[in-house]
Amino acid sequence: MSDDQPPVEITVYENGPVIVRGTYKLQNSERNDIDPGRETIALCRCGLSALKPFCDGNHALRGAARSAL
Amino acid sequence: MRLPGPRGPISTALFAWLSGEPGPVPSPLTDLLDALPQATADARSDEDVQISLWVCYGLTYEGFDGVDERWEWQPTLLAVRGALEAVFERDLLAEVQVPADLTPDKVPAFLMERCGATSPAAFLKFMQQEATIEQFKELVITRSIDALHEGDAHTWGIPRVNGRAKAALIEIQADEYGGGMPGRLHAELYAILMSELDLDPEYGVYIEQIPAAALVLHNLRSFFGLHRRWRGGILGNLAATEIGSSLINRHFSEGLARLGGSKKSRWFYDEHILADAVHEQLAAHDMCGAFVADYPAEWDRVVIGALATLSVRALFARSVVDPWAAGATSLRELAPV
Ligand code: FES
Ligand SMILES: [Fe+2]
Repeated sequence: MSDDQPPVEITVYENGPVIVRGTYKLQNSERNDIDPGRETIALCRCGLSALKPFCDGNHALRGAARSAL
Repeated sequence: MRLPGPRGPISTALFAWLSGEPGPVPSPLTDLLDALPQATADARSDEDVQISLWVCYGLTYEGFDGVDERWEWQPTLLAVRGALEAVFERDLLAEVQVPADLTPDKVPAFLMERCGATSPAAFLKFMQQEATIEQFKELVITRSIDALHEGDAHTWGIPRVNGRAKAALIEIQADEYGGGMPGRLHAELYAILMSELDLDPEYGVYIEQIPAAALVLHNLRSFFGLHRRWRGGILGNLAATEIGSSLINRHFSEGLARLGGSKKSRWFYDEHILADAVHEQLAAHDMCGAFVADYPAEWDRVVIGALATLSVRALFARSVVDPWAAGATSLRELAPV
């Protein structure tokens, strides 16, 4: 990354995913590229996504289960 | 697109008027509009009101064959639209209550909670597990009147807000429009869905069969989007559309897969599972959160916009589920030719 490029922005959302913006490279632990599909991506941090590493909204199920208890 | 058939006295008079030169409001139409506040109990589900609004707004989207383009900004037409909107707004607000203890700082969390939870769970499960292909196609037809213009009404919000809310709105909208790549626009993915199901993706071809309860989904966005005083409302509408949408689209995608739908046909739904997981955060926190902070006098408009959206969505779900439960179609019967 050159010095004049703004840093990657990583934002943590309460009860939700991590959102990544900017110039980044997404890869798995074998260092194979993962196509992000869009510029701004949401990465799952609740573990419930069926489409990891992306967030698929499933974190809401945990929220629902919790508030039902 | 041709003008649709009328569904009552107002649309009869309105469509006849629109077929001529722009001019003064004919007095029978004025009388009908004067009586409208008493004549309709709920403009949200009134076929005559909703088809009339859809045509008034349609002048601003694609227009109609044989209808003079100057009608769009004709003051007399805008006055008629305004009279329809006044009852529409009255009945929207009657269904909505901003919680007394809600404060601007709690709006993002409130939106996440309320909009995520209200998706009609039984309806989604039915689509996922039981709907027939005919029923699935009915749903695709009814939603087409909104989905083939997906994103457009929210775009009208862009020049009306500034700063962080605008940036977040554009970030969402860019995705709605496929990042600017032709063929990737969400509206185009919907057209692909329709084609794959052997339906006609041309806008408006199914209008006669689409009931008020589906038109209102689109009319609500147009109403909010075209009025600056409802700029908070159009943001709330977008937030209510995005939040929980991933789960809704997952149900639809799985339902279509169960019915043998191709990967291509499910592209629209699958794209929304991932896109809207991003959008719901941006919409609730970055867009609405910033708007209520930066426009403190209008913060409750965001909430009203979201709650009104949920109320028409519930109306829509009932309009589909109730006839199905009775073994009937959710579409309007076509008049015999
Ligand atoms: S954070 Fe959204 S599914 Fe895990
Ligand atoms: Fe979309």
